Amino acid sequence: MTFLNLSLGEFLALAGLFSAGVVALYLLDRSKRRQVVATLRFWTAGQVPEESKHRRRIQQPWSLFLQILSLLLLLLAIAGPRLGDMGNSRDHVLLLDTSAWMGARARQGILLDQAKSLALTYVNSLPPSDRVMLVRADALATPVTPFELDRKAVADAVRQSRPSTSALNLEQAFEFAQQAQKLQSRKTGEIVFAGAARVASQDAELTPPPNLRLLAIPASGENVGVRKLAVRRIGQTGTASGGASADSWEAYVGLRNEGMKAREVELLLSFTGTQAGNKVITLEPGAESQTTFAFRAQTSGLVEARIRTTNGRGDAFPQDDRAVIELPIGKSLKVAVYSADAALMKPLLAGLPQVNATYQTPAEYDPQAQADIVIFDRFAPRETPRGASIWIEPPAGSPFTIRSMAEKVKLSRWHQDTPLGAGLNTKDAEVASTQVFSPAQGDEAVAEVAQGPVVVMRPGTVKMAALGFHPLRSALKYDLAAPLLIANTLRWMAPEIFRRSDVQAGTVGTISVALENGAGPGTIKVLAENQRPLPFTIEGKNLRFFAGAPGNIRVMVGDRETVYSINLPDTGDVAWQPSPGVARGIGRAAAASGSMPNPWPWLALLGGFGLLADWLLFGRSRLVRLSPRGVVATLKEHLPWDRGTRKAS
Amino acid sequence: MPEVAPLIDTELLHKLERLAIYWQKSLPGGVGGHNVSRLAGSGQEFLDHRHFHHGDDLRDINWRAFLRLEKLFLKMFQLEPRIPVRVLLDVSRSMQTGNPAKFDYARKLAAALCYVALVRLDSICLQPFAEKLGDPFKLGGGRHRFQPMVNFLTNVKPGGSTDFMKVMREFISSYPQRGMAIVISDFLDDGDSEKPVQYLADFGHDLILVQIWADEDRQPPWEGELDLEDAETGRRVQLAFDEVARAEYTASFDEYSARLRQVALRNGGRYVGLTTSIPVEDALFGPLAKSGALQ
Repeated sequence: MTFLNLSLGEFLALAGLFSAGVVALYLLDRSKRRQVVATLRFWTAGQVPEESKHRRRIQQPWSLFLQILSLLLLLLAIAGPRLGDMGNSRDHVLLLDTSAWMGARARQGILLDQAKSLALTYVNSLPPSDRVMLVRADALATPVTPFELDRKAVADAVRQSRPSTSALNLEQAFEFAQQAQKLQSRKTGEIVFAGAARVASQDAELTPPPNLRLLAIPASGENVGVRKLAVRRIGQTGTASGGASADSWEAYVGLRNEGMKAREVELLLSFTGTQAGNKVITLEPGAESQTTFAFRAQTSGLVEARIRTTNGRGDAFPQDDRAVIELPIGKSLKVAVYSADAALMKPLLAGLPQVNATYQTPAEYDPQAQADIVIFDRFAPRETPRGASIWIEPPAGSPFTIRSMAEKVKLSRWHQDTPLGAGLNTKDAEVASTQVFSPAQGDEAVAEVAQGPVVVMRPGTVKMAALGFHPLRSALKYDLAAPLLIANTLRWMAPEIFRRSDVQAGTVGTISVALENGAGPGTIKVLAENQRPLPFTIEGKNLRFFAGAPGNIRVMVGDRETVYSINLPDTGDVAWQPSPGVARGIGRAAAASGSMPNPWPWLALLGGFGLLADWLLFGRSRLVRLSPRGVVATLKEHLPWDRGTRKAS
Repeated sequence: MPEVAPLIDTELLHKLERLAIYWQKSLPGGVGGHNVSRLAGSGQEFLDHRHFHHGDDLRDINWRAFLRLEKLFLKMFQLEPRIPVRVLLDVSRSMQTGNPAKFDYARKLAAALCYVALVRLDSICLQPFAEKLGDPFKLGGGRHRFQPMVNFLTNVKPGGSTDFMKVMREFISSYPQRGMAIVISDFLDDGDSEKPVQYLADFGHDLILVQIWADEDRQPPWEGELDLEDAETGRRVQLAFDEVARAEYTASFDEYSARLRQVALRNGGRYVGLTTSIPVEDALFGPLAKSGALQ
């Protein structure tokens, strides 16, 4: 016999403490009581000879014995005794498949209900001395109970399990179970897996642990689901100057038939509740299809892809029949251009769809005007703007110091390591006239002639850039360098506007993102919905991170941003088929051993009865006298039917 | 003088006006009482005829009988004497025991009896006693004297031990005129209480013994080893008390009460045993009325 809640030493110590307390209270209760009485003349009848007083210190030994016995029984009930030989007890790990696929429809309820039923049957069939640890297995192996003797606790935990939205990571679950048995169990029992065991295709050949018992759930019916949904602007390229309309989007929808029959489904795409397209697709068993829809959207909103079976019957797993993502809000960059020759400036900015430019004369300059970037074309205001600014051929009074003027000089060097000079390598471009700047502290040269820097950038809280020449009044106007220089400058000053954004519907679990060349860990950010950074790893050209719960996750790599809308359930690809040697079903030995009742309620009941009996037999207001005559007298006094008889007589 | 809380509420006083104290013995006393007696005297009710003797009052001669029989017969009338009512109130320390204390109960009972006597214009003597007689309070003449009596009872402080023999001797010598003696006490004297009561009866007093006890006096609720202290003498006894001993104790107590009752009845008196758990009103209209002390 063992104790569930106390060790033997603790039990004995508590029993001794309680017994000593009971004896002390008993003696205190039976100690001499001092009373003042009117006379002593009648008391001689009850007086006991002096020599017998001390021998009768414990006057009611049966009362004391009953009290101690009752308290010991109660203490034993608290200690939680377990009957049976604990030497042969084993520790089992019960892996309950709570992956998304377990939410698929079954004949009655869902697959998880069948798995729960099997798991409970297995738990109840185990010998009482065996301990069970429940682990919920989906993308993560989550232990719910420790190795537990209390079958009710395990059963409650099984009943409270719900399907998650992630796929089953069976390998990790097996590793966890083996590790738990290795570290925590006294005698290794079985690893029991209850579920459909639908795993990713790369885990299909997984080798099972030697002590595995499989409580398999029959394969579910037919299912076609949305496996991918992504949207992106049409025409987005590697640079900000990739021209396209800002409200044209393209949606990619991936479908997969996981059933054994060919299915014909209708794929519907809607934006903000309005249908944006539909296609009828026939999918062969196990086949995937990619479908593209183009649509226009000027505002943010929800893009929904939904499939509908053409025969009117739903499939086994309706949770993956729909995917929703939210289009990002299209931001524009406000650029205020102050130029006496606005026509000359317009070609520079017209090719950038993200830019919303306004053109005004220098006389109309307002330092309080709302603009993200201000461009001064050969104009220096008295009051500089609060935001970022680009100065073209700045006259005296500008924040930049002009060292000299140079005529007919060639741009000899571009600093491609600077954000403004990235991708610029035009050589021998001649500039008719240019200012040569004297860089201040912190200024960085972007382009230089023989006399010195002619394009400088000034990083800081308020970013500035200065061009010593007008890009469209020089030979550069025929060169790609002019718009590229302006685009680089604008992207440096407002990088969030020019960030390329994709939106994809993803599944809970490990997400892998292909990286572009040159993307280092310093340029990568993975942010959760609450803007907290998520840990990630880089393996070769792949960025991997884990999304444990549905939500939106932003991945920023350089100027590219991908928003993963984690709302698709990950159902796995194939049903894992272990080798034939794996034990299946409820074990014969486990089923044969019946469960023994837990004795603690009976012990508590006996203890309570003992205390009640002591109170009735020996308490101050005793109900029952000990002598037969006293019993009869007490019954006559207390029992209502007896009182009635007495009145009648 | 500070206002004294009433021992008896007004409602009970109204009820008490219907009662009167009755004595069984024919005691001599002044005219104007309310109890008939076997003594002849100047009463209203006809008692008997006897031959006329010289010196008899001529107004009592039955002249109709003389005309018919030519003999002088004298009409005798029943005397309704006024006899003194003396209430002996035990104020010893033993009366302080019990919950509620027997002393409070006895004071209320004495006040009620005195009020009944005052209403009937009896002369009252309230006599506290312990080991000897205390200062008496004598009053008479109507209910308007009730408040001074209440003040007296309120100011009486219990104390001392009981010595019935000494008290009775002192009483007999102090009050030679026979009358009604109402003894309100627990009679829990260490000595013998029967002999003093008998002594009092032998001197011709009409006795009403009112024995008051608390429930714990008759059936002690305690069990186990007890360290008992006599409330009057301070003597202590350590003993073990159990159910059998309790039964023996109660039997002894009842036997003692029975002996007291026997003494009272044997001498033409009355005995009333009251427990403090009975309200005073119920005691007056119950056991006391049934005993004939109050009618």
